[in-house]
Amino acid sequence: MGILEVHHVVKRYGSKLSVDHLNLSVGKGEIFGLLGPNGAGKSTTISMIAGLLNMDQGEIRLDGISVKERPLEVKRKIGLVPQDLALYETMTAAENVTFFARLYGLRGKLLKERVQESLEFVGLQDKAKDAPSTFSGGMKRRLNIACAITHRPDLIIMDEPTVGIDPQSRNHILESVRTLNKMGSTIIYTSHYMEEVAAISHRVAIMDQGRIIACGTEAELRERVASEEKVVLSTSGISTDVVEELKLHPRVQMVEISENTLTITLPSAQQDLQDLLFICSKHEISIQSLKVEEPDLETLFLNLTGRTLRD
Amino acid sequence: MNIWHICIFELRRILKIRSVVLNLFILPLLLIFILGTALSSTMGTADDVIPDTVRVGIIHLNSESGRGSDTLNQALDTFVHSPAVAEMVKVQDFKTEEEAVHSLRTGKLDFAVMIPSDFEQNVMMGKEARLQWIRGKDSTLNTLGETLFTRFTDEWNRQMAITKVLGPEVIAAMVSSSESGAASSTNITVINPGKTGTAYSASQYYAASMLAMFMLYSGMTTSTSLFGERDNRTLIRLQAAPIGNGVIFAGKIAGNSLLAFLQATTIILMTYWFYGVDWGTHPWYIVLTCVFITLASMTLGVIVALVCKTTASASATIQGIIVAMTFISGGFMPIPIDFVQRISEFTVNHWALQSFLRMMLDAPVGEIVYSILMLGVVCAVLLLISGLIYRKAGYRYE
Repeated sequence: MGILEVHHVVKRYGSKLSVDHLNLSVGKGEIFGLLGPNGAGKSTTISMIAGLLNMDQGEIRLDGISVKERPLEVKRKIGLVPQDLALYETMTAAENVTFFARLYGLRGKLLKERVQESLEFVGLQDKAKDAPSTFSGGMKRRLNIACAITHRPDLIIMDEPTVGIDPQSRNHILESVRTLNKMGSTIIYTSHYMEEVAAISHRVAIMDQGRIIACGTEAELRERVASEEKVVLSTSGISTDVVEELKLHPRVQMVEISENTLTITLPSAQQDLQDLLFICSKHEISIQSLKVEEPDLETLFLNLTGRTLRD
Repeated sequence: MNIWHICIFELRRILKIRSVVLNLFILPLLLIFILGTALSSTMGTADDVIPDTVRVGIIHLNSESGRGSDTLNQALDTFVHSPAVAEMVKVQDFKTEEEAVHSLRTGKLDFAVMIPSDFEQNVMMGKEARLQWIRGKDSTLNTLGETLFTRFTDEWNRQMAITKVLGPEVIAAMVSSSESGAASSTNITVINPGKTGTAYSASQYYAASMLAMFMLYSGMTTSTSLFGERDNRTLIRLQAAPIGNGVIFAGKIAGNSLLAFLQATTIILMTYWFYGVDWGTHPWYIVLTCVFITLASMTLGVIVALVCKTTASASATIQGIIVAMTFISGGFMPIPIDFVQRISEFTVNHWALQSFLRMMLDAPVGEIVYSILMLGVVCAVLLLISGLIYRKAGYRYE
């Protein structure tokens, strides 16, 4: 049994089923990625876990404590990094962190120490006396995290924490997530960026239309689409004849054309690459570059739903 | 403990906003000074004695000569020539209402009294007899005129009642007594509405009305703050913390209430020290009145915040309500229209103003307490409405 257990959770908004009999389990000390497109139900799910929304059906337990029956106890163990920045722009960084930390019961000397630690952790110790209104987007995101971790929660929920920030700040945040995990926190990380989730999560759940459609480690999930690889050929020009002949190949599953680029989906690139190159040369297609793409979570999502994560 | 923590944080956060400090602390002091100085002529000063003469026109509707019966005339003469009244009243008789109204309009009269044609008949039949007023431009002189002639009517009714019971000899005895020059021992005494020989000044009036109005603006700050938590998404973080929704709400209301108290203290002390405004000798009643105004302000802010969809609409709504209430209650300028005064009795500003003015005039405690209690009733109604709306709508981040 994990630290977080979600059983048959349902949430409706009017006639729309936002979360549809969701089941998931998060182990203690892991980084659990929740991946899915916009509108999949990720934010609704974590809102229910954090006690912000009531569920219509089902049960959520954190460390064996029911969210429905003892919400305040559960909230004490959770640190929430919301998707939107939740900061008081006119108060200083230290005042923001201190205010929220007090709500979790921290006082006196311990409070001061933890506030200092949190700001150092996110790299804002020099900005403690400055107001977020003077911060860049990346700095605000980091302060957003600092406000959630001061009380050292057992479970940290991060809802798309890198939206709209520069790559440097994103990397800093991802590194912070790894460090928090090493310090003992269990983390639920939601995003619609496959690369981020794949990079840091121990396990990933793919969510769509309120349901978990796949769950496991990245290796396990790749296994599910191991039957597919993609060969991407950039050419100087494509003729319909070469496309038709490629499609006739017994092991080619799909041929996609985008301007002068051919994307050929087949079980194993290694096995049939020679055949593909022969067909192209027969039709005098000049190949400028060649790339073999291994299956990823995006491929898995596409397989399972017929849509891409960014749709 | 968390309520207190949220309260103090809220207060500190609001006081960092310059426009709040300007609108809630500086602007009222400025307005009190400007209005008190510019409109002092309409109200006089606290040091003025009631003018030597209030020019009163008496219209006898039952007589072509413009005078009533001998008995009534004698009683009126006795009354207006009594030492206390004679200092204050100069009487002129009119045959018709139109003539008196013309004199009021042209400023030749301050106040007019109409004696209905059935006045004496009602008295003799044992029915209550009342005079009718025609008010002039000056509310203070109107109040004085009403008070004096109400006193006359009450005394006249009393004497006629005694006569009816004990016989006409009593009247003769009363008339004889007045002819012997005992006019000074009239049975009719004059009771001033407040301090003997004083009235409230324009500065006092506007200090009271602006204090009430600007304390109500704290409700707008509350409403903006409640919306702000939602718009800035900080409400999500607050609701994710291990505290109840009620604690968040109570903390924010407490913070804004403290702000209102701070505002009231500043305005009262600054106007006392720098403008010489006398707030009377009932500090605890002032505190109680301010408590009720704060309660009204907060409940108004809560109602608007929970009903309106956006910050802009909430601000506009609450501003409109406050300005309307202030206007109707005579907070900008006294409005001597019965209908408007009746409506103003349903406003917070009316009872707040009445409470403060009565304290300033050192009115009997009963009058002060009555006004404060009525203010409390209005607040209780607002509190009930806000409670019902909160239960229905709640305060959530989405």
